[in-house]
Amino acid sequence: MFATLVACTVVQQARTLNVFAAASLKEAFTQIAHNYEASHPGLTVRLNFAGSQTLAAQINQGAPADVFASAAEKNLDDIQFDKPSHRIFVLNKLEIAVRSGQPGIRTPRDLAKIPNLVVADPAVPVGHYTENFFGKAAGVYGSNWLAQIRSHIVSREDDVKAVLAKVILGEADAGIVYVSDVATARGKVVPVAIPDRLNETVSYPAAIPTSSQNKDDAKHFLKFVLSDASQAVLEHSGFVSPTRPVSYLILENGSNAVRVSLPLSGRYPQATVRVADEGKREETFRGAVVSTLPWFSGSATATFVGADGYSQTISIVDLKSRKAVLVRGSDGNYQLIVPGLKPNMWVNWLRSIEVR
Amino acid sequence: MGELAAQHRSAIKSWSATGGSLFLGAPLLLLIALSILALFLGTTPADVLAQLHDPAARDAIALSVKTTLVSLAAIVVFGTGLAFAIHRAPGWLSGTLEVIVTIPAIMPPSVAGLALLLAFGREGLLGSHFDALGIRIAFTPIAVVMAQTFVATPFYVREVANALNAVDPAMMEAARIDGAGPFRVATGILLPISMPFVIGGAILAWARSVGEFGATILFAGNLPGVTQTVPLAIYMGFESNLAQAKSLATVLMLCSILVLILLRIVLRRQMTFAH
Repeated sequence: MFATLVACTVVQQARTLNVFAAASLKEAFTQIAHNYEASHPGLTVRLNFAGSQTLAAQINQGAPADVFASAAEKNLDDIQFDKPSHRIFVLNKLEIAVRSGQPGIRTPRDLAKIPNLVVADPAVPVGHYTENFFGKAAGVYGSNWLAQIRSHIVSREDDVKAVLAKVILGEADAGIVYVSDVATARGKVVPVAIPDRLNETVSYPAAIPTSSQNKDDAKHFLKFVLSDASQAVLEHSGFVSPTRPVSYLILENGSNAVRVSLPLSGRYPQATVRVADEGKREETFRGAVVSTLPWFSGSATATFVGADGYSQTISIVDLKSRKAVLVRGSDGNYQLIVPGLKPNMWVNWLRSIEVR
Repeated sequence: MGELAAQHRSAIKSWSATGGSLFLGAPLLLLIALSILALFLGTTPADVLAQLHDPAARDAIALSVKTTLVSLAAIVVFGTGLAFAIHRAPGWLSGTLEVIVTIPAIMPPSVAGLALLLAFGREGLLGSHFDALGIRIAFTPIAVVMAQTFVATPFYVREVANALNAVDPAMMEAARIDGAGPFRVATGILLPISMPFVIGGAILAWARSVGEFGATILFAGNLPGVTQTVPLAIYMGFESNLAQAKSLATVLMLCSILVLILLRIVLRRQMTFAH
């Protein structure tokens, strides 16, 4: 009987792909796995969702995983994985989910008024990011705010979905979750945005564990996750896609915000710039001249924000004198290139520009 | 009759039969014994002691001790009432009561937690009224006690009800004829005879409430020092502090073994009484 059992397992493993994914990916990955199965007859994707720290512990205890999609680099680093397979496949941010029927909660500052706050345990990625958010917010709202928040935490849950469930059920008045989780609970909770300067940009890495028994299928699946179709599914769930271009840039000047349609070519003057990279090799870029965008002439500085949350603030004078350009990449995303500034100060996956 | 049974038992004891049956039972025995052995081998006494000095572990143990003792008190007081009701009620009612009381024993703990939340949660059946009065249950130690009491009650009530039902009716009849009222019968005859089962049931119920996990994490949440009992600390520790999880698990395991030995002693005493 044991022999049959073993035989069954071997046969099954050849046709099964075990995907371990962070709890926050549940809706999106269920859909992606479904699409993948439809285009790969005979292959079954077995999904396992839990907090990333639980998944890492399971893999280290010998659970069969062919793909590990984690909500944090730290948890992926807890396991042995094939280094070249590592990919950042999606980005996420924190958001406050407020129980419906509670007026007067509009900003993170108002969190102090909430008597029952549920967060994730600091061992869970979202719980760790929540602590970072509290730390940054305390710098703005004061330590008294933080003390109040701490005394209002009634539970530290095991994964982000448990936090959300407690808010949907009405047990908690608010919880700190990901933007993507709030997107899955539209109408059931009220979202309160966390400003970028207090927020955390969460990069989700995926990789193939060294112990995987099905690396070929795993590679294909990872590629599929990064495909346009899958990235669209992730975006629909509220995630930010690092690879999929948006159709506009958001341009803000304090009180006003406009959408600048993409592509920029044809509407704004183009220029060609030459820059030397770290290896002193010269490279040529052609793109839209930044200083010709609306509101730039009358402002002092501009802050460029990328999809991954990376931002750079540069004076308009500098941008003009250095002939900064916005260059469209092969994937349709825009990159800020400032000749004379180090390439690591250029902003990738540009999403918004704030001028002051 | 008891002596005859004892003779019978010694007559069928044999090493060869034991060996044969053990061979058949080995997979189950290995499953249990190996896992327990692995747990003890996974940590050292020094490790366990060191981890027990950690405030987080101490908080969890203190909370577990406090909440399970309160649960035990509630189960013994109210459960004895329920057991007598099952013993005394007419057949159909007795059966119904027994079924209701037994449900938590066969219900998955996560289902129990969800049920408790839907009944006593803030938007629950009863909880919404409590909430209007400003009383919160979920996320408090009260919720921990309720979850433990919920899952452990059957172990006590069934044990006591069975013991009461096993008392010879002729003995109660004789007492009644001698002029003893129902209360005298209960305190003078029923309880003393059933005492080993009362203690045994209480020990079992306590052990079950110490191990309670699923209903607690759903209904009471997880906050160190407030609702994080030892099983919850073990679960969270599995992810963040394996050494502490193993130490706490070892402590719980020792506790369970102790309980079972205690139970055997109590019930053995009862056997010798009966003889």
